[in-house]
Amino acid sequence: MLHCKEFPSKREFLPQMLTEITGEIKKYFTDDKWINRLKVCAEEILVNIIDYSGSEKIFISCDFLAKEKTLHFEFVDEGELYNPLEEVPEVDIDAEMDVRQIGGLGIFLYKTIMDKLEYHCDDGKNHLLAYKKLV
Amino acid sequence: MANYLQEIGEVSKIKLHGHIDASIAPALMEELKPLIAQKDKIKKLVFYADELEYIASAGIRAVVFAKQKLGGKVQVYLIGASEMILDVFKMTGIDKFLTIQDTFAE
Repeated sequence: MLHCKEFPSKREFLPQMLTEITGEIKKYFTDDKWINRLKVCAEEILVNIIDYSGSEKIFISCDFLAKEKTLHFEFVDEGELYNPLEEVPEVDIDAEMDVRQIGGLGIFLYKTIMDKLEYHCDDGKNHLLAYKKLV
Repeated sequence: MANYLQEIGEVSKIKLHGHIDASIAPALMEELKPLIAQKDKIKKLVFYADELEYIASAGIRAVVFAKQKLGGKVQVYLIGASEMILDVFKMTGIDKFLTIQDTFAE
């Protein structure tokens, strides 16, 4: 279990963050495809925070909700208040590649992969919660 | 340089390898620029992915970027990708616009 573990919000710490998160994922998921999918989700969320929030720190929690058989992630940052779940245009995955919007793919991926995503701000911090039931 | 770009010609070749995440993808984009500068001579663009272990959306964007810059007539191949890599391409719908093969066959 990761509980509110603090990392500097910098690209060079991304591998360290992903190693910690992947370690938690592997405790509950055994299918390599799902381990990879959840790692991709975590990376997309973290990169958005690092690149755009302006926060100096990221706090990561990851725990398993036994009753719901669900892995729960929480990403907290102290940057500009922003709800990534609301303000991004939908990606049309059937659009021809030549006219594809090049942005928004990351958010599209974690919206697709996760079962549930929630955002709230609390004490001036962004909280992004992601849930994935065991498969 | 990460040495992704292998050859520029009618059949241009890119060797994807290791982890292509948000921190590495800009290096891949940079290596695509000389290829795009010679787009008139390119008929096929082949991404070899047999040594690619991980790709995030930033890497997928680089593939889309290359396809868009080269234009619709250039056929883009993805060769030797593992199931995990293909899974990420499929989720974004990009796989529909690539020729996916185990080994490159013109």
